[in-house]
Amino acid sequence: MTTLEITRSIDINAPAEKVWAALTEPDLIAQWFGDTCEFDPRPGGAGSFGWTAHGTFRVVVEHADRPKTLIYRWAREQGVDPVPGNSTVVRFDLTESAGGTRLTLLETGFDELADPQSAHDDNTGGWLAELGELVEFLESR
Amino acid sequence: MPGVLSVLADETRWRILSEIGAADLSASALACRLPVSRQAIAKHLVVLADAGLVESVRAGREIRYRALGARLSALANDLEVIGRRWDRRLDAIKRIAETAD
Repeated sequence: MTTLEITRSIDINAPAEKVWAALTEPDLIAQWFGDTCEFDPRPGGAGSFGWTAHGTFRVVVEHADRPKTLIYRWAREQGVDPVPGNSTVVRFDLTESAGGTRLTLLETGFDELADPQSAHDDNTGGWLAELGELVEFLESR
Repeated sequence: MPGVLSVLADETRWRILSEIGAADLSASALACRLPVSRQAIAKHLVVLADAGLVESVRAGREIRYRALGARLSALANDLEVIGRRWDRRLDAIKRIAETAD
């Protein structure tokens, strides 16, 4: 059952540096994410992801520890700088696994999208965890 | 999607929803169970009803509130769709990284 964050993992038969390149080099990013890309993999680095059909969405790198962790904030609206409330945070962690690299994705901030003020509440964690259980319970009634 | 998240990002509304998820209750009954005034509960119930998360049902002379799962399920589905997009992206990243230089 889903909670309000998204996490996925995949095992890749390639060294972490090659995975890092796929995550950070604009010409490679454009092969898996959107159609056009500008990206600067340094903290504070600004860029954008573009879709021919949907427009261009700005991104700001929050953390980059090559080739281990990459975190960026990605606007959900066109042409605005991503800040809490209009964006989600994408985090990639790369760890060594059986001669290759395990890539783990975590996307968070969906609750912030709702209401910028709620981002500052400390009590959101509880209902995030419970949402799945509640959905299950209500559907079983 | 944002609307329903905003509505849920409130501790009191979450507790109301949890209580009426277990049993249909009136605003007065909710006020007995939660450390919040009946007036405040009534306001929260309006917000929850506007978001499609609860509906009112008449039981004799009493109005009771019932939790609706459909809106929450829709939210869970939205997140599932976003997750599936990531599955496809990660598959593509894998192909790119595994391709020889």
